[in-house]
Amino acid sequence: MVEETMGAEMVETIIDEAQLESGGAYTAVGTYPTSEIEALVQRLEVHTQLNRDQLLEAFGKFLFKGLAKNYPHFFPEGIQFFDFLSGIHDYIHVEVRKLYPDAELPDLIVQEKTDSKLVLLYESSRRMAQLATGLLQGCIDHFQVGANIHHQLISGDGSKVIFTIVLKE
Amino acid sequence: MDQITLLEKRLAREKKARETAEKLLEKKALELYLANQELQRLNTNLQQEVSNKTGELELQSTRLSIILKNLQEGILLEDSQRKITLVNQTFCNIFNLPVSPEALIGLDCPTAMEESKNFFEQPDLFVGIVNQMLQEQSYSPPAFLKTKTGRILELSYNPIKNKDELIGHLWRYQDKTEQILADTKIRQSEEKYRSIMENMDLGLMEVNTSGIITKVYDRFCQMMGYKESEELLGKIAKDVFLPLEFQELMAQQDEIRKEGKASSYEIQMLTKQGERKWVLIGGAPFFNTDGNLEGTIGIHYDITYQKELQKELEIARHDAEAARDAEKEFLANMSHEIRNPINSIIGMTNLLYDTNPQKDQLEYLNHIQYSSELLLALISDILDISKISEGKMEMNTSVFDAKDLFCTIGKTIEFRLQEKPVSFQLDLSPDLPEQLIGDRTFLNQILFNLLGNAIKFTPSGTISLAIQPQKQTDDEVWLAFSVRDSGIGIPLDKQSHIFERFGQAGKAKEVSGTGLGLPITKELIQLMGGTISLESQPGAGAGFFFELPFKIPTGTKKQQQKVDKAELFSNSLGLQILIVEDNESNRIYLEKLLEKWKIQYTSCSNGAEALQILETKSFDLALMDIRMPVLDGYETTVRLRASSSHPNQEIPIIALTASALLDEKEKALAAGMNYHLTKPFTPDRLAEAILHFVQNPSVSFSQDDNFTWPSPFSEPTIKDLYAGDLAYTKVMFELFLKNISGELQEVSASIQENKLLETADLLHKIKPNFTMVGLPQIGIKITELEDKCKSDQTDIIDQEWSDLQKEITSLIPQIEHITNQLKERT
Repeated sequence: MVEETMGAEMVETIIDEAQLESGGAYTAVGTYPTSEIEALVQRLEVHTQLNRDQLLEAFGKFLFKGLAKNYPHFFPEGIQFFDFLSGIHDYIHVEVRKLYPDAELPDLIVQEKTDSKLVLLYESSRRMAQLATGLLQGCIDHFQVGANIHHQLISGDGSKVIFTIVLKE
Repeated sequence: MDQITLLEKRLAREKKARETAEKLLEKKALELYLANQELQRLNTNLQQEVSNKTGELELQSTRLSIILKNLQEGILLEDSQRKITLVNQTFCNIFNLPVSPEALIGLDCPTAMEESKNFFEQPDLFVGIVNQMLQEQSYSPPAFLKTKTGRILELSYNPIKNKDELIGHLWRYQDKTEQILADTKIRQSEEKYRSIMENMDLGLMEVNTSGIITKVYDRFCQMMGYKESEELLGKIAKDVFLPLEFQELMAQQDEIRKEGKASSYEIQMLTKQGERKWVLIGGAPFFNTDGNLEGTIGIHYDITYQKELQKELEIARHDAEAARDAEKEFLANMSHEIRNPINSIIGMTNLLYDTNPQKDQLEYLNHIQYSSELLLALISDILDISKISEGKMEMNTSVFDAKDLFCTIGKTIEFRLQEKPVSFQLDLSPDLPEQLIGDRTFLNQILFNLLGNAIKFTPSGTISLAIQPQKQTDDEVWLAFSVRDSGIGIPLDKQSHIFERFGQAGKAKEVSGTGLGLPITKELIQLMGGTISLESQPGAGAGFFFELPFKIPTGTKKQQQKVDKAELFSNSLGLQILIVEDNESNRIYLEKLLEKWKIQYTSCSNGAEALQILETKSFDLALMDIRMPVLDGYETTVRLRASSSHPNQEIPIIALTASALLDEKEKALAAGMNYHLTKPFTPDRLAEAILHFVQNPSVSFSQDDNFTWPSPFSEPTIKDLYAGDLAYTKVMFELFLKNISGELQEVSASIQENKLLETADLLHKIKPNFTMVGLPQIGIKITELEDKCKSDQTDIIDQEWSDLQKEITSLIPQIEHITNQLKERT
C-alpha cells in the first residue's frame, strides 16, 4: 500500500529507519513479529501527517481488496454480506491457521445477527481494531452494500471493541 | 535516492525475501513429508486394527449365527420400529415358512403377525397376547399357544433396552408339544393311581430322608383324622403318628429302606384325635435321578377292624376250647357215675338168668343183657366221643363170632319193631366167615345207629340189613353192608351234609336210639378202614352202604370162654356164708349169686342180728355191708373179733362198701375185716375173693390188675382211691397232667405279686391233686407252705416254693410215663 500510495522511496526510507530484523525482506509464506509492522507504522506517522488509526484503517481497506483477489475461494458464489462476516472467525481464520499456525488473529465473534444488523465483538491483544474497521469498510465496498459501521470500545486499551454494522434501510 | 539505488535496494530485499521463502518451503516440505509418514504409519496401524476388529466381529457373528441356527427356539428380533432385524432357521421351521431367515429381514412385524396369526388355533388370542406383551414392555411369563397342526408353542417376550431406551423386541418360540404331552401323561397317570388308591381306601404318604412329610393324599388325611394336607406337610412323620412302643419297629424299617428295599409291616398309628389305628403299611424307597435316596413312600391300609376281629376270634377260640375241656372233664366224671347203676342192671340180669326164666322171659333177659352191656360199652364210648373229636379214637380188635353178632343185632331190631307195621329182613350171605377179627363194639354201634335211624324214619314198610363178603383172601375179607328202609327218605339238599357234624339233618334227631350221630358212624367206618355212601329219594326210603375190612383168624383159636365161676364151687365144699346187708336189693343180689354157686347162706340186715346168728351157727365166711343201722359193719367186726372162744371169731369177713374212700378201707381193715369189695362188683370178683379166703383165710388178697407202682408213687394211696380201676386211674392222671403246669404258674405269679392269702388259697386247691396221683408226700409239703403263707412268712416263701416247684416239675416226667403205661393197659 505504501508503495502504491506513497512511492517506492518511502518504502525504502521507512524500512531503513525501522531497523527491522527481517531487513524488510518479506515473503508471503513467512510469519513476522507484530513489532515490525508497528515500527513501520511508527516511521510512517513521522513522514506523513496521518496517525496510527488512520494508517491502519487505510491499510485495512487496501488489504481486503488484496485478500479478495488472492483468495477467491473465501468468496463463494452467492454468499451474502452478513454471512461472510459471520464466517470470518469460524471459517476463514481457521483456514488461515492451517497454513500459518503461528498467525495471531483477532477473535471476531458474532454477538447478534438480524436481517439488518450485525454485531461483532472484536478481541485482540494487538489492539488493531482500526485495521478491522478498514477491513470492514473494504468488505462493504466489495459486497457493494450500503451499511454503517459503528464501533464501541469495551476495554480502554482497545483490545475489546464492539462493531455494529447496520444496513441502510 | 536515485532510481538505481532504489531498485538495488528493492532487489536486494526481494532476493532476500525469496531465499527466505525458499528455505521456508524446504522446511515445510520436510514437515509435510514427515507428517505424511506418520499418517501412513497411523493408517497402517489403523487398518490392522480395523482388520482385527473386523475379524473378531466376523467370528462373533459366525458364532452367534451358529448358536441361533442351532437353538431349539425360534428367534425373532425386531428393532424399535418393529422391523425384523434377525430371524433364525428354527423360527422358519416352526412356522413352516418356505423362505430363508435372511429373506425376512426388514419386514414389518405387525404385518407379518397378521399374516401368520391363522397358524394358531385361536388367531385372535395370539394377536391379543402379543399386543399385551408389547404393551407391558417388560419381561412377562410365557404364554402357551396351540397351533392348528396340533403343536403347542411356548411364546416368550423380552424387550431390549439400552439403559432405559427401548431399542428392540425379542420374541422366542419353543415347541413344547412333547414335553406338555409327557407332563399331561404323568399327571393323568398320577391322577389315575391316586383315584385308584382313594377308591381302594388306601392312603399314601411320602417323606424325605429327614422324615419330613412331603406329600399326602386326601384319603390318607381322612384316614388319620386330618381335614387338609396342609396340616401335615412339612411336619416330621414320626412325631405326628408314631406311638412310643413302635419306635423300634419303625427304626428297623428305616434301615431296610436305606438299603433300598421295600417291605410291609403292621403298626399302630395315632390319629389327630389321639386314637390308635392298626395300619398295614407297604413302604418303599425312591431315588432321584442321580441314584441317591430321596425319600420313602408308604401305602397305608386300615386294618383296625381286622385286628379287632382277630382279637375277638382269639377270645372266642379260647372260650370254645375252655368249654370243650370242661365238657370233656364232665364227660369223664359223669361216665363214671353212670357206670354204677348199669352194673346193677347187669348184675340183676345175671341173677335173673338163674331164676329159670320162661322162654319169653329168657328172650327179654337177652335183650336186657345185651342192651345193658351195650350201654356200658357206650358209656365208655361216650368218653371216646371226646377222643374222636381229638382224633384219638383207637380200635380194639378181638376175635368175635360174626353170625352170632349179626343175629343178635337182628333179633334186637325185630323186638323193637314189634309195635310198628314195619318188617325186618336180615340177609346174611352163606359165604360169610364164621369168625372175624375186628372191633366188635364199633361194628355194633355202626349197625345199631343205622338201623336205629331206619326204625325212626320208617313209619311203615320194610327195613333190611344185608351183609356180603366182597373180596376175600386167606386172612382178610371185605364185607359189604347195606341198610335199607322204605321210610320217608332224606331231602336232597340235606344229603350232602348228612355226615357232617352239626349239619342240619343231624341235629335234634340224634338223641334217641343209640345216641351216636351219622357223623360218628362215618368216622368209625373210616377208622376201621372203610367208606360209607348213601342213596335216597324223598318219600322213597333210604339206603346206607358201607364196606369194611376184617382179618380172618387163622387156625382154630377158640375164643376164651368166660370161666364160669360156678364150676369152681361144683366140688361142693359145703360152704356156709353169712350175708349182712341192710339194703334189700343188694341182699337179694348176694343171695341169688350164692344160690347160683350152690353155696348155702344165711342173711340178716344189721350187725346186731349178725352177732346173734354168729353165736348160734358156724360159718366159713361173712359178707358184711358197712353202713347199717343199729350196728354198723365196723362195730360188728370189732365185737366179733373181740369175743374170745367164739367159733366164728376169726372167720374171714369181706366188707362191701359203696365208696372207695381211703378212710373206709383203712377202717375196715383196722376193725379186723380181711378184705373189702367196692360196689358195684362183678360176680367174678366176689367169687374169686370168696374162693381165696375160704381156702386161705389168713393170706391177704389182691384182685387188682397187676400194675407195679414205682416209688415215689404210693401204691396204697392209689389202690385205695381207684380200687384197681386202671381206666379211672388213667383219666385222673391225665387230668392232673393237663392242669399242673397252669396251676404251678398261677402259684408262682401269685407269690411274685406277694399276694400271700391268694397263694394260700391256690395251694389249698391243688393239694388234693397230688394225692390223686399217688404223691401224698407232696400234698403234705404243700400244706406246710400254705401255713407259712397264712402266717406271713414272706422271706422264706420264695425259696421254699422254688424248691417245691422244682421237685414237682422233676416228678412230671415220671407221672407222664406212668400215664402212658396206663394208657397201654386200658
